[in-house]
Amino acid sequence: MLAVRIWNYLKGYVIIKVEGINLERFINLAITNNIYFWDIERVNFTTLKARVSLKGYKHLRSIRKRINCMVSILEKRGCPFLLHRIFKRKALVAGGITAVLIMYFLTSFVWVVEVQGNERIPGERIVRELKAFGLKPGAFKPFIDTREVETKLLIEMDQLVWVGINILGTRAVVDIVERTEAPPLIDKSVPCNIVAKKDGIINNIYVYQGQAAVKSGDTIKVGQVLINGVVEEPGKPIRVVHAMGRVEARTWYQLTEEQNLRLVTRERTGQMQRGVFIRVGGNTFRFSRKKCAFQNYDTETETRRLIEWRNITAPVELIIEKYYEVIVEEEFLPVAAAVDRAVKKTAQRLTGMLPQEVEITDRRVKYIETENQTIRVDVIFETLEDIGLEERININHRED
Amino acid sequence: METRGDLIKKGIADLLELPRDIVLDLPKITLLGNLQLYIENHKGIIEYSTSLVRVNTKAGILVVTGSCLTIRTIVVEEIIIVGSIDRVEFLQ
Repeated sequence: MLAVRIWNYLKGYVIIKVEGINLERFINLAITNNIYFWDIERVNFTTLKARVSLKGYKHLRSIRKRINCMVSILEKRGCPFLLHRIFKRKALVAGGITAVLIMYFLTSFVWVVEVQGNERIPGERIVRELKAFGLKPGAFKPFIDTREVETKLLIEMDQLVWVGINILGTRAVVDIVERTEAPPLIDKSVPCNIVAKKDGIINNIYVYQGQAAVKSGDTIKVGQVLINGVVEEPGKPIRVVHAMGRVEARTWYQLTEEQNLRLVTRERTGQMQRGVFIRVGGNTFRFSRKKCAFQNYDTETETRRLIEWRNITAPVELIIEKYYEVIVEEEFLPVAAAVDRAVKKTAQRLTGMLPQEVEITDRRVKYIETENQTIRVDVIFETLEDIGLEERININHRED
Repeated sequence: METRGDLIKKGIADLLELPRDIVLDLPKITLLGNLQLYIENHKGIIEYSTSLVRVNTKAGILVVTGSCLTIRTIVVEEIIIVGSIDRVEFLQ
């Protein structure tokens, strides 16, 4: 019945008053002419109130002629009349259309320039540079060739390796990747020393050019000169050269790792359940019926915004949680195995830290048992690495 | 009112177990408590007021008395009368 009522409302209907003597005949004639009537009400002996569809009302005219009765409209209801009334107010309609047009017009400009991915270069500087190429708040979108601006910015700022400009609605999002600077290489013609970049004990020193300042077995500190670029030989004038050589030293790295003796493993069984939630504002509502049935499970949460249009986001979020059933197993490690595990972990960490071409030659492991069934493992790794670093010689200083 | 043709039709309907309301063109009347009366297959309305409705059918004139009677829907095949219904009777 509701569907019928909504349909009638959409199509529009009129409430009519029929006055006459033989109103039953009027009804019978109307229905045989396929005019749909409803909610017929007798007001008094000569008057009837009824609802009839717009189309039906037009057909009533022919019946009215045949039977001596008067039909008048009491009320008009439904969408067509409402629309008609709205469109009568021309200023309102014009205002609405103008508002939409203005909105559309304003969204064809860039209003915000956002810079992402910069670490050393200040964002304002990039914004300033972009302004020169025409990408600035207030710029007309169709006039901006993002590819061209990208290229120009790359040429202008050689600190950048990559630039990506995306115009999202009224926002221009500029993604940049900065160049990672290579350590400055000193030209071969410039005199320099080789100094230590780390503490250590010299293992081997090979001098290609210059004069060795240390010998193997010496303990050295950071910054200490290893190969001197100032060559002083008896009976010859002092020469200043570009020192070259390879200084291998033993260095140490200490790493600490804590290891729990109680080892808990969580293995997924492959069973999975989903829970769906809807977050409106700050409130979360469960959408799916069941709660998670697993005793032990891992949860993965995925959040989806239902509407994401330009830079407007709806305050409604769909949250899907996936529960993976897990089998939890507890295992007590013997101390030796735990130490072994911790050492392996530290070794992995170390290889991430060290530069390439570094050889791990030895390691010393110390461990203490702390409370809560944990052990703390200190590992000292001994490595063999090249610790030389070129350092320019300030000649003016030497001549003083 | 029954003619010879009607009798034959009735006989065939009984014999073949056909639904009688279709074969004999009879009205199907459903009464929902005393609130609503649904008449399928009527032959037009004879009289209508808030206390009395007379509807023509093949089985005679159906007289409905009550109070506050209104016709909810009326089309060629069916009528729905709502209100407080006191009595439903056939007049031959």
